[in-house]
Amino acid sequence: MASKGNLTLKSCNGKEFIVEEKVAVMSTTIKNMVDVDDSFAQGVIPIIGVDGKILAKLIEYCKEHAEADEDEEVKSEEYLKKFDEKFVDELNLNDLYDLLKASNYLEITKLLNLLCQKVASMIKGKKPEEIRRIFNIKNDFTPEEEEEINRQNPWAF
Amino acid sequence: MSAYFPEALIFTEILIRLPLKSLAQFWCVSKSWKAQIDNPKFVRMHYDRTKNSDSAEVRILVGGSHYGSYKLYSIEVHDSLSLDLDEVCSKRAKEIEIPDKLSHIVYDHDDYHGCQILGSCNGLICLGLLLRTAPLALTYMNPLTQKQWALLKFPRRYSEGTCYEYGFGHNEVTDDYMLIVLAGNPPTTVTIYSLKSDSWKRVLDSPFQGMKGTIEQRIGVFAGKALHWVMRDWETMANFIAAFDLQTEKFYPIALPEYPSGSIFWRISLGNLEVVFLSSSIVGLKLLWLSCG
Repeated sequence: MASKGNLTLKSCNGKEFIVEEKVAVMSTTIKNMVDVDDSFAQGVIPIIGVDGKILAKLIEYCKEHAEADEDEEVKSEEYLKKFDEKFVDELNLNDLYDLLKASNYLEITKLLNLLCQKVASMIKGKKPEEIRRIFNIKNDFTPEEEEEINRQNPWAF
Repeated sequence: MSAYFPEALIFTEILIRLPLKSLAQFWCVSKSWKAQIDNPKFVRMHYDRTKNSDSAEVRILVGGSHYGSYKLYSIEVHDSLSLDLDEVCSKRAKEIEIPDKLSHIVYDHDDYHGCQILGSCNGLICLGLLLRTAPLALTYMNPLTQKQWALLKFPRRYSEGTCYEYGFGHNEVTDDYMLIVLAGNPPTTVTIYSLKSDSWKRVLDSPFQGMKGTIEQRIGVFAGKALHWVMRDWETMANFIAAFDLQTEKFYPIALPEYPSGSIFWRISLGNLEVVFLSSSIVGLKLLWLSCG
């Protein structure tokens, strides 16, 4: 049981994290849960589909940002920017995807934006076959269709 | 890498952050990617986001007459855009070929004399292939992908010397793109093309007479929920703005601010209606900002 002002979050593989409420409510989804049902604030909040490793990363991010929101002097904008850069650079592709899905589900907008920007710059300029590999997409065009599409140059460029 | 990645997130959160050029390369990733990138809803999301971002790639399409035929150019606007038009046109502008898909229309008609941009809205443009006797082939284009809709024939033919005014806009209520053609001399008959129903219809004639005797094809400006044209009251010779509400399909007038005596002409500037005042000694410029409420 978390003490007052703290919430307990439980990952899908059973790991529990006790976090300050201000950190947890960076997630709009959690904020809504706590707002409508007081029992969540007292008990354990299950975070469906998010494992312990990813939840720990989410909490690490939210902690830095919640603290920065509270006291700008201790954690300046520049500090946060550096933290964000380091945070995304250290992620491997699998963790990046899992975090992205989790931050979408938990509605952590700042983090979602950060991660999407990272994926966007990662895929910018890549060839279609690389894109298919990155997102695990099957090419459902016949070779003839693909050739036809390649012939149609974007006319405004 | 084989992690499953939700497709909806790819489009709504990631692809909208990419420049158009990248999107064009991703066209042949898969059928669903192609369909998504072509989708007017995605085009709009991408446009809205790009419009509000600092690092946006800005590209303008310019249409102009060149030795008697209309041509279209695309220019990438850099921060340090030179105002030397010769330099811009010779080095930066790329002439846009009429897409292959449209060429057959051109060849079918011997009085074709060029194409013109008839309006732009939410990242889509409406391109008109102009004939001397009728605004025949009108098409909506996604400038990125050449995706085009509905080359439905304009339902009427007019005699030579007919004046046309065009306007291209979006009806938020019905989520429909609409092209308005005012035709006649003066151009008062109103015909509307709806992308959604893929059809033309006549509505009540315009109560305003428009500009008489001009062969210039005039383009309305879409702002808020209405299209706007500068018109003249032929009794008082005063200019005013005629607005056409796409939702109610009705015209209403908007008075112009006071302007000095002299001739007046209008032009479109970046989605706003700009009225340029000319007098013998001073060339003045006033901007009229239309409320988008």
